[in-house]
Amino acid sequence: MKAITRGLGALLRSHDRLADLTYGLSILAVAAIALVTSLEVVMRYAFNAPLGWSGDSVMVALSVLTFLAVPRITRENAHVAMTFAVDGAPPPVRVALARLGNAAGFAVCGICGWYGADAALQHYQTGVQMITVTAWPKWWVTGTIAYGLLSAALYFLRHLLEAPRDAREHEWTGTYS
Amino acid sequence: KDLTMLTSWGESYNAVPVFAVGFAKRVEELSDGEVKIDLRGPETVPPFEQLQPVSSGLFDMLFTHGAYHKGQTAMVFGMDAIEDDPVKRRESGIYDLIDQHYNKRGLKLIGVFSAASGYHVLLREPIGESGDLSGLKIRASGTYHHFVKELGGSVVTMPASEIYGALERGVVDGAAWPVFGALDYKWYEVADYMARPTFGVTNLSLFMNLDSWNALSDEEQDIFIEAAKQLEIEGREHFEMLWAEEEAELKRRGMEITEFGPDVAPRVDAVFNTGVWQDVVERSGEDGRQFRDMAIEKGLTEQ
Amino acid sequence: MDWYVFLSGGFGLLLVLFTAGLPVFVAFLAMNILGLVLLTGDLSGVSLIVSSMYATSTSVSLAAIPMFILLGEILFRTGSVAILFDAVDALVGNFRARLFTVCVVLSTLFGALSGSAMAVTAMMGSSLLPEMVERRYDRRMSIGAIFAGASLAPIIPPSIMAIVLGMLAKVSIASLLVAGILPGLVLAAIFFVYLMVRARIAPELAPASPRVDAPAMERLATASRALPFLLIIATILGLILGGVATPTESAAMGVVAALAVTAAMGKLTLSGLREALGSTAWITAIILIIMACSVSFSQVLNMSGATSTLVRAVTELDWDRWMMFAILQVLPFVLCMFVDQIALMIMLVPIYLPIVGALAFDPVWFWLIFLINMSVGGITPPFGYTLFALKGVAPDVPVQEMYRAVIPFILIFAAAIVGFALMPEIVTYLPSLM
Ligand code: NA
Ligand code: NA
Repeated sequence: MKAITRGLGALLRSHDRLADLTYGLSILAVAAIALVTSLEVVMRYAFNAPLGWSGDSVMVALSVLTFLAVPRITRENAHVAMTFAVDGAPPPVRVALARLGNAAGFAVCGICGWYGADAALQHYQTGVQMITVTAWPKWWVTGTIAYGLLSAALYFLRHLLEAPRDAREHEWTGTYS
Repeated sequence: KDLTMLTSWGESYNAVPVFAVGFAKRVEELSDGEVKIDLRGPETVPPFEQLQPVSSGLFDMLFTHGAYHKGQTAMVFGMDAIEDDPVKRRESGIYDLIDQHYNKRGLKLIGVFSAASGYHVLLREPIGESGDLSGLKIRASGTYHHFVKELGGSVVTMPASEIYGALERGVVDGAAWPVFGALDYKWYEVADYMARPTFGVTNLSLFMNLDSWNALSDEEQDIFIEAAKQLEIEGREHFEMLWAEEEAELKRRGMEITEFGPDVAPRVDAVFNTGVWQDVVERSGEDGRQFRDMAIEKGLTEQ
Repeated sequence: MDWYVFLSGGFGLLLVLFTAGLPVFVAFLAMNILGLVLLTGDLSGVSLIVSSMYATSTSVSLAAIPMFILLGEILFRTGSVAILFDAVDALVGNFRARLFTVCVVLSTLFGALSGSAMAVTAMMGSSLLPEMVERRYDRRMSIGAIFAGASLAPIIPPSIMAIVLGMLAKVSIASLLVAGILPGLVLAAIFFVYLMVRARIAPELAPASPRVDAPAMERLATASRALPFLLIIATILGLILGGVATPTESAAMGVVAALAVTAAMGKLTLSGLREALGSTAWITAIILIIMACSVSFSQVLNMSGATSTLVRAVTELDWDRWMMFAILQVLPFVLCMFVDQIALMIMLVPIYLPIVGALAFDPVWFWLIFLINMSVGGITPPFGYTLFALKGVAPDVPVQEMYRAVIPFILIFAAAIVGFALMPEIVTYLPSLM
């Protein structure tokens, strides 16, 4: 029994570490967008030699930055939600609604993540490319989407299974970095 | 029978009323109202993402351009490098080759419609002494990548919605696009020149989900093919007229022709076609190679 | 299923899910999955949601959002905004609404330049807002001022939304862009006056400057410290107007300029830069995941044919000219409470075209008012990207406070729309000179 709990704990910690790691990559993607975009302007205007691949890589980076950050945002309950009705409700209702939200989040992210993984696998196997000037494998992006959604689904599940607490803890943490 | 057709453009884009709506109407007439086709545009499924949902049967038909699914296969895109003669095209056997290729993806090729026109480059300034695009920054999608580079220009990528602003303020010197577009997108307001000659042939293609196709009776299948054959000829004629009107209108609104230099002009088709065939062979493998060889052998492409 | 059951059921259920406190993107995804199951009979349609997410999250035009947020983050974290506010305080210390008006002026200026209300709201929310709250300015008024100014982004050129609309509506894009200048400035002026009057009536909304009593030379010195900040703005302005770069590219260059200036001033630290990049990623992801899911929601509605049937039903009403004008403008206003504006335009404009022609409305006038309407759509509760952008950067602001903050400005917009309808010259004068 203890071994199972310990094993589970290790599993959850690696889930957390992976989410931290991909959030770090997401931050790098922001830097990459700024860098590539300003480099494009300089190369085009000062040297009359546009990069040609800048728009394409910004496309990829934008999607990657979003879906690599989603798991950690989900872990910290930081998604935008309209909490005004929930805030005014009595605690048992709040707990119930928080559970509903987590259950729904698990279900929808799980379903979409599953189909995302299916698409990514298909894109990988058949070598589908993005419609860009420079050739980018499409599974890089669809794979990231699948990862983001599935990992978010797992976090929703973890929130759902955590010991019932006051729903206040499910409100905004107010921290975002 | 009620069928759905995905189109890559809205009804305001002239190919949709002529070919997509035209096809639906013709099929409805020929089947005495038995087969109805309902259209859904890019506001339902984004244009570059439409092949898969039709392959998997979420929609029955697809009206699109070959470059829009180039990420999966460039087979039908190859038609843009094929001589613009509907009858010759059907007789040559290349349709069967393309059809078999798409069959593997759960699709049936119904028809390829020529817009009786090709592609061109819009420019802020007339073509200079070099006679080509040397030193110019041209907004171009992957379709024109090879073409622009080969003619000395450099490729700038940006979404279509930013072309207007970029041409207006000189962020780019020009933009490559099918000859239809400058009027609808109002680019004549911000670019004064269009380069001639034009190059390539713009084709729109019509596919059907293979299961939906097999579910049609023999008679209905004949109707579909017949409607497509008629439209390939009549729609093309209609487009010749539309293009003449559009070009006259662009000139009336102040756009002028600027010619490629004498040693460049005769090559533009071949340069463009080379880029197309590179894509076809690279993206469609052995089928693509066979397609290109057949086109060369039958003298249907200029290289 | 009848179209009106599908549509009202869809909007109703979405509202219920919002109110139940579900994350906004989860509420949309739930509706999308449900809608597709109803339309196709099984889950296979979910692949459409995935490809829609792919298409939205790879739209290069959206790169404006992280770039402007990053710019705002760097300006805030390096204390540049504090310096700017000190300068304004030093120059006009006794003028109570001064920072509100700075807020409107800056969000109008950046809005005008970028064309993206969302990007500017996120930028202002991460730079100006915390500083305003710190200085004891009323938070709700500050938020309202940011929303109001930022909503002028699509109206004053350059504006991608105007270009898309001009293309769809087949009117001259140049005319539509120029037509937005006067109404945009009129609106900015009204916001300005409104904020001054509110601060006059209720002085507790805006504190007096602590620096009023300082000697003139010291005040001048404080003001001059804002010059580097103005240099950053000038960089962005110059690049866009000079035809060097697109608005998104100019924002990226603005980031470089901000880094250079703050580094030269010795205010840039590596940890500060890391934090700025980190919260940019965080906020951008929060906004883009909502966009990806809500665009997909519009697509599912379109797939059902329900929205186009509604619009056709409205356009077939045979009412008199002004009633028709009112209903044609009210419909998108209401739909914007639930769906994405660009997706709505793509569906609605082609259906509107014949009726606008038949009623003989001046096209530039009609479509510009429509554009203003679309722009307000971004801030009308319960659903609006501009609202969510601010919620992303200021998570501790309750949604209900944002709703309350935005209502006076929506009313001003509505009144101004009536004004522009009754006095079409405000819209048509500048284009008539072209
Ligand atoms: Na603007
Ligand atoms: Na709204």
